[in-house]
Amino acid sequence: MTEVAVDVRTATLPIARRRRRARAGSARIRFGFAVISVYVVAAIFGPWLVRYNPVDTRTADRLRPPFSRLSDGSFAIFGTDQVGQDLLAQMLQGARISIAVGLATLVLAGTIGVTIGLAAGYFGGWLDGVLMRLADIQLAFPSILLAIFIAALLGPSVVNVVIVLAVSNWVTFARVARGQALSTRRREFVDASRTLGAGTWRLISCCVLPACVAPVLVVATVEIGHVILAEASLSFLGLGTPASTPSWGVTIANGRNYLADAWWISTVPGIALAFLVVSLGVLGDALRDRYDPRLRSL
Amino acid sequence: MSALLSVRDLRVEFATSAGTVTAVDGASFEVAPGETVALLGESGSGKSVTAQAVMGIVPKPAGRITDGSIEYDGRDLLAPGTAKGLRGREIAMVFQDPLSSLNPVFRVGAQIGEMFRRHRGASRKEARAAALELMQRVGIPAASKRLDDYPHQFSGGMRQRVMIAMALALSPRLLIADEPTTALDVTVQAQIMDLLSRLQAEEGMSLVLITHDLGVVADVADRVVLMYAGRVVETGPIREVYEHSGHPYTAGLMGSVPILGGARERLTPIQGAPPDLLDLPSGCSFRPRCRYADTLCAEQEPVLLALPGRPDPHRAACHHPEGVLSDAH
Repeated sequence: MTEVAVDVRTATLPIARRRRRARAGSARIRFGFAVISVYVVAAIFGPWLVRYNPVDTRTADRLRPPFSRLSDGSFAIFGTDQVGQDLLAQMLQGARISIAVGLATLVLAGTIGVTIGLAAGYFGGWLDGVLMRLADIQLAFPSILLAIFIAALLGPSVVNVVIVLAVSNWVTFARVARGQALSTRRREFVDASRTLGAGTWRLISCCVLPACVAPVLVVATVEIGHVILAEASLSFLGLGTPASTPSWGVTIANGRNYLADAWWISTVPGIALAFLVVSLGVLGDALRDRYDPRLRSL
Repeated sequence: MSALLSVRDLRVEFATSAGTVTAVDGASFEVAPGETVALLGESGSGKSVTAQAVMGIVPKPAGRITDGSIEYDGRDLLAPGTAKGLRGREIAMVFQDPLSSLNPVFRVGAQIGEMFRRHRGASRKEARAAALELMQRVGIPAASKRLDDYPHQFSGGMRQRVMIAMALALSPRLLIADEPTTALDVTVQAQIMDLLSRLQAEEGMSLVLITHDLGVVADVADRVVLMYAGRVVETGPIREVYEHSGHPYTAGLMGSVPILGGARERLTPIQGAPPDLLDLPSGCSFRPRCRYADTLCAEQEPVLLALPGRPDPHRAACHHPEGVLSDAH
């Protein structure tokens, strides 16, 4: 009886909807978006629900394992750290920082990268040569070394982390934008626009830039995972966000000394970080498969 | 009558990995105001590159205009900055493939209206109204509904009409149409040619039709300029050139066109293949495929000269026009 009902329903399903179901990576895109939405919602609203005070210490509740009740009667689902802070509150605060740093870096790196890439690809010639050699130098220079250099120069702060990460990530955007500019600028509609009186600026903003949007968004999705991971690495090394802003990297670093008897301090934020980065990677790959299959080699 | 467009000894070279290709080699022709000129030639004869040179869109850095002059209404188009102010307002161009020559990411109404907004400073609303009027003028049915469609939602013929509407937006005095019907169905070809010739008459503009199809231009063009291997080989009023070809290449083209209702004979193709532009024969480029060729043709490059016994505007670049003229008829 149920089987018959199901059959009838699929048979009468509109063709358009059935086709959309079959499109590349639908399940992966939905999974990726769902996980990321949970993180974003937690990052935005979490710290309001579970208060976190960076200078609070509660020695009575130090190093409590996950699922334990604290002295004030509250319940610590992820346990507490070495000064008795609730790990969940700390992670929610950290999610805010990690995601904010990731987005800010992407916007900055994307703007720099796309501008340089468009200029190199559209104008070509010596400008292309100079800009792309600059990109090669950037790629050859270890980004951790650069981060140490900048952190030593400017001191660790959230803004400096964004600058460091943007400086080491613009190259990917520049390459993608350059590739699109190269393939678009000789297209016939660009020539057509030029014969109808469009100037250089107009051709770049109306013909070449729109062609970059899809691949750049795909790259951005893949890159944001790398950026969040890089931010955590920098913070873990003490070069990223200061201890008063507990990004995941800071929390993981704090737990390093207690791995033997309080494994959860490093492990729980580590799992959260890994899960977010993996989800972003899955989403980025799926978006790429759907919107820009040519980029598969990136 | 002074010419609106005057191309003199134009030479365009392309740097390729195999060497320098001279795509246009000393081509000269004129277009009078209100006149329709057909620029005929096979693939690689330099006709499209000539148009690109006039519009200032020769692919850089590979292509370079190395010699000659292009004057529009007494102004030097090759001087820096001149062409930019004229493109769109005075000179416009229609391309071969109407899908790839429309911007895929903008609605057609906006693309046409853009012309008015950029050049005339029209408001969004005025531009939209003007775009609608233009779309009706070029014969797009239900134009008010189709203003907000994207180029891919149009058929080939309709896309070409959109392209023509954009080109005509600012009432240019010279329209260059580069193979405007090649990518279209035969029935649509005739409609587009009719449209172009009607608009040309209405606007009183000059029209340069670039094509390899002799039939397409036969009813529309006043004059024909025939190109072969980057050179102009024959020019003159279209009937005169079609009926009394003075160059063996033109004669060969005429012989290879089937005539509807004509005798059921085998068509006579032109022997051989188009020349390798990297390695052109000495003297006359058509020499290896020509049955009139002799030592003079190998030694000396023929120049455009009036034909014996024919009216003056009819000229051909051949050492043996008498033979061609008498054999063909």
